[in-house]
Amino acid sequence: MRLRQLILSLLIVLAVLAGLYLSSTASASLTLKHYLIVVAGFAALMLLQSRQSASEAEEIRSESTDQQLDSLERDFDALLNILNEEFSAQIQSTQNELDQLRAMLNDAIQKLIGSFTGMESTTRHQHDLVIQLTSQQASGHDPNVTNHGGQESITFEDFLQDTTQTLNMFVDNTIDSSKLGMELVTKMDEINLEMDKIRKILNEVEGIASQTNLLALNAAIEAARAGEAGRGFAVVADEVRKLSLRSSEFSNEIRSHMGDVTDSVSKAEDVIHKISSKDMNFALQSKQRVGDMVARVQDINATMKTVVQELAIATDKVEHDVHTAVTSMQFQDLASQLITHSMSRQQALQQILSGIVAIDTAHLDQQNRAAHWHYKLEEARALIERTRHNPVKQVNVDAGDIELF
Amino acid sequence: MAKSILTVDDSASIRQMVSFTLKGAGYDVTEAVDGQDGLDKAKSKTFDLIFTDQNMPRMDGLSLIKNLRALPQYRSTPVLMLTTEAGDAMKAQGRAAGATGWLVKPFDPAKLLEVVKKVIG
Repeated sequence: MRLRQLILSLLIVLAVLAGLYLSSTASASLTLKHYLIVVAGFAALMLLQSRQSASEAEEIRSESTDQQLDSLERDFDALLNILNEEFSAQIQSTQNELDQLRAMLNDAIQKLIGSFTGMESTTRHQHDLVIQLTSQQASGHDPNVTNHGGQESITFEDFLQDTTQTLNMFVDNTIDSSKLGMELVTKMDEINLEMDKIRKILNEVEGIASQTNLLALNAAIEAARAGEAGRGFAVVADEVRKLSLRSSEFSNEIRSHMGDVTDSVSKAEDVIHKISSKDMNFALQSKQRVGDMVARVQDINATMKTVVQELAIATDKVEHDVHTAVTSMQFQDLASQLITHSMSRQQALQQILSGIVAIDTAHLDQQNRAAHWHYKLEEARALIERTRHNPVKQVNVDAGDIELF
Repeated sequence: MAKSILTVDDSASIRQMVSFTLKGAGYDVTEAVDGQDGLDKAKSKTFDLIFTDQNMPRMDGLSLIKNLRALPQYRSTPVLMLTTEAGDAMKAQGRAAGATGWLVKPFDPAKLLEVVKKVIG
């Protein structure tokens, strides 16, 4: 448009200059002059028309720009609203997912702690039971453990030792009894020998009684032959004969009693012999068996002591592992705090964006709009400042520092 | 009689871990879910030692310590911070509020017990 006006202006100037030039020359025809004036006039007319058109076009363009700006502003508002809604929806979804994650972590840690404490309690109980068992087996009395009667409990080793001692005493007594029995048998043999001697003496006594009886009988015959003078002697001879008969009766009686005694001694000898030989074997076998058992128990005790030592090492390791687990399981608190902090950052972002959208869609004049922008900017700075501090700096679950003031 | 300890933390897992560690060593442990709950429980019974977190709803750890120090029975009772906060500025605030010490999470049970023994025996 401007180029056209420039050409027309140039044409007018040229026509006027040409007209002036031809006017100054006499040779120029009147028709040419008129022609140039018409050209200049036409050009001027065209120029005027062109300027009017340009002015009208400018007005039209201005109206069009305003319409475009209004349209752009509406589009921008719509876009901001869409952005805000979409951003809010995304942040809400993210926050819901973070809440879900936090709840899952909380649920998992509760179950983990429950299972862990249960396992630790069971392990501790198991350990106590083993210690109780092994201390009873290997280390003698445990003053902390009493039986239902309130009396101090005894260990299996104590029981075996007591049994061994008792059995040893029994075996020793049995052996002593056996020896005494054998001595008794010897004594019995001696008695039998003495009895035999007595029997021989009794035989002699019987012989003497028989001869005495015979002598008394002879004396009585001789006394009868002597007549009246031998009467007194005959009485004496008769008494002597009676004494010899009584002596024989006593001798027989003693022999009979001695036979009974001999039988009794013989029976006693048999019984003593049987008892002493039988008990000796039984006692000696029992002693051997108990000796073997004690040796086995001592082996078991030695193994028990090794087990107790290994158990002590295992207990230290379990305690160390428990401490590591307790330290590590605090990750949930750290993670939960980080999630909360991350959510507060998102909430701040959403708040800032909502504030901006509210200003833009409020249809305020430029001055009020600027004031609102300033206010929202300050608000945004404060929000950002509040969320700047992260309460969790840890990057792992190693134990933190300790400082006593 | 076993020494009594109050542990104040909004994290259930931390409260459980502290209780587990201290009860295992024979201490009598009470739990509180935030600063306000801790203050209420501290008023209803006198404790020998208090552990508190810093960031908690309703009342934070530093405010709890200030409130405790205002009570005659807690002027000299050991109060230990047990928190993820590890900044020097925050520690200085804790010291100014009357904290006895500062433990940064996560805690190691053996070291926690060492500190407890050192502070209350």
